Amino acid sequence: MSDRAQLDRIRADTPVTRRDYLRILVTVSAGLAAGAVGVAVGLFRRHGGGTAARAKVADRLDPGQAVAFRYPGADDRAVAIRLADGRLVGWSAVCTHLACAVLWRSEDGLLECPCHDGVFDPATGEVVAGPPPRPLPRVELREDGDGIWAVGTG
Amino acid sequence: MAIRDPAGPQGPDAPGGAGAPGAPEASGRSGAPVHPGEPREPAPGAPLHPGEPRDLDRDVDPAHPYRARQLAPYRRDAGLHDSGLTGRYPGLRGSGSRDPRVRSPGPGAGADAEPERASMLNARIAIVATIVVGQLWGLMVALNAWQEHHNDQVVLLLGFQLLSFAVAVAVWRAAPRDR
Repeated sequence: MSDRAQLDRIRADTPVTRRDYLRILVTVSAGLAAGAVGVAVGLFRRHGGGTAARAKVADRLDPGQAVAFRYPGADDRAVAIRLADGRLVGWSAVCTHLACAVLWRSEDGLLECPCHDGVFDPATGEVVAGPPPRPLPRVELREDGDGIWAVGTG
Repeated sequence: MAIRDPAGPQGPDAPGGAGAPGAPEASGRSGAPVHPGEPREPAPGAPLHPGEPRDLDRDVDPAHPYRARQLAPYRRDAGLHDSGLTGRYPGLRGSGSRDPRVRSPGPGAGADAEPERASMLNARIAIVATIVVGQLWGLMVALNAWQEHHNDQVVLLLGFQLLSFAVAVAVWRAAPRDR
């Protein structure tokens, strides 16, 4: 049997036709559209909505110091940092890349995700380096005579 | 089974062969019956019954017909002579439910009977594949927008996704001459 005839026979025996491929593609398209509907109606969890109960973070923080805490939920890691210039900032400590924990590197003055070397600016939460696609969500902090409080998410 | 080489010098009519007097021990190799009364073994390729066509096996070298016959039971495709499962790639079959008597798909199999319709089908597949790639990108952007609380952007991307799906369905269904 010649190669051409062998090829024709194999093609004739192909179990999946091009119309099947077209149907599969349309099905995938429907799945993606359904996923977009799920995003729009809020099936996926996201950090913060601006409303959360007030929670105490620490009594005090000195410049260069940071404290890790959970806010607004028990599973939401966050970090409060007293910058060298005296400003008090709070960020979600969940990396926006693949949700690893973000750590405060006092010697470098940066927030770093050790999983894939994502680096964030502690002053703004913006991505400085690495694969994270978004800046860190903000945690609103207030300081009074009783200590440092987390009062909401941004 | 006795083996006989008709091209060799041990043929029935050759000097010193089975028919020669004084050489009865050679009768087993020449195809003549070992014991009196047994039928003679047929020549290679000869029909077993009168009137049958001669066995035309292309694997048999006419000069040495016995070699392929000797090895036939041990070949990989032994017993598959008429099954359609012989050849270089005997395992390359379709669903496995074909009629094994069909050894060839017929003339023109695998080719496009209507090239215009086949081209339309290819174009539709390409369009829908492009739409799906765009939807993947749109879903990624929508997730980012959702995480950043850009709800208006999420709504726009939802419209984009639904419109893309509608176009994909239209392209899929828009084939009046399709089978």
